[in-house]
Amino acid sequence: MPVSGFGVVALPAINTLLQVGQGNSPETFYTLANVSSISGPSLEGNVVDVTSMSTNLPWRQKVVTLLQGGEVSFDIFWIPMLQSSSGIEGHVNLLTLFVNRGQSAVAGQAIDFRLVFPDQDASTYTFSGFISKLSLTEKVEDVVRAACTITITGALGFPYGTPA
Amino acid sequence: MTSVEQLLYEAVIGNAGITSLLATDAGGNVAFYLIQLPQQGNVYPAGVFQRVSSPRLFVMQQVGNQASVGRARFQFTFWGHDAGVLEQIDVALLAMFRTFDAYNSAGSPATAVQPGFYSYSSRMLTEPQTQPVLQKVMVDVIFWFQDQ
Repeated sequence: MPVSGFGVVALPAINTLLQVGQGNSPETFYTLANVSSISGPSLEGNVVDVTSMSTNLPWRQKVVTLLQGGEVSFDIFWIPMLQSSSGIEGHVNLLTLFVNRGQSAVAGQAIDFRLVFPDQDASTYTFSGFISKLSLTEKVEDVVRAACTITITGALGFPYGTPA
Repeated sequence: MTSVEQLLYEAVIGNAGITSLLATDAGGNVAFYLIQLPQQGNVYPAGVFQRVSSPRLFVMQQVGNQASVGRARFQFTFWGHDAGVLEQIDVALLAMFRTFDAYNSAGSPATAVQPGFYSYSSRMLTEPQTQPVLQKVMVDVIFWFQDQ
């Protein structure tokens, strides 16, 4: 159930799950393994300046036209040999999704993702997109890490409301 | 679960290159201890070790092995009257860490090439207000570990 008022001050981010759809029907989602941080979606609206000569006011006027889901970026403790299993999306498959440029070997088929929040309802945002960046880092004093980016295409689905 | 302290103690005590340079205390044990020297009957060269920090890695999802990997920082301190012996202890400890593995479980197939340590820093100084004067070597070392 949605909550209202000021009863909930903040929600700890740990246990937020970034999940990847397997492209089947009905679609099953696997949780991406070893994710250490998630940023996004970075929603953005295209702003058009509609200030005209006739407003007679010294303030610019603007309207939002098209919306975009932006990006979801996330960091992973990367394990190159990690395969998918038991509801966990391995890093081998994540790399495959990048190389495929989509869900299947046919480039262009958007991948379904879910962002599941750790609230009592497991509130879930849904979106589709592509793995557009996968950047590995190996430092002598650190573990192997990967910084990944999903570029969202289309609408963001969210609970308690209607996708725009 | 074996603690990192246990692994380190066993590694040091099992390393003849180090133990041959340390004294034996009144109880017949190698003079190497956790955190502090015994209050009575000190013999030298003797050493202690202690955990300074051990931040662990966390992932988003609730997994059974959450926070099982981390990097431990330990400090070793060895005292003695002969600075030359302390230098040898420092060299022997460095050699020990070249093969020390707190990441892979003993007896199980390794999941990673022995990660060992990635920081090792030592310094020598004099212990103030001691007569005869005690020298000491302090070693600060950081290595990866995994609960096992």
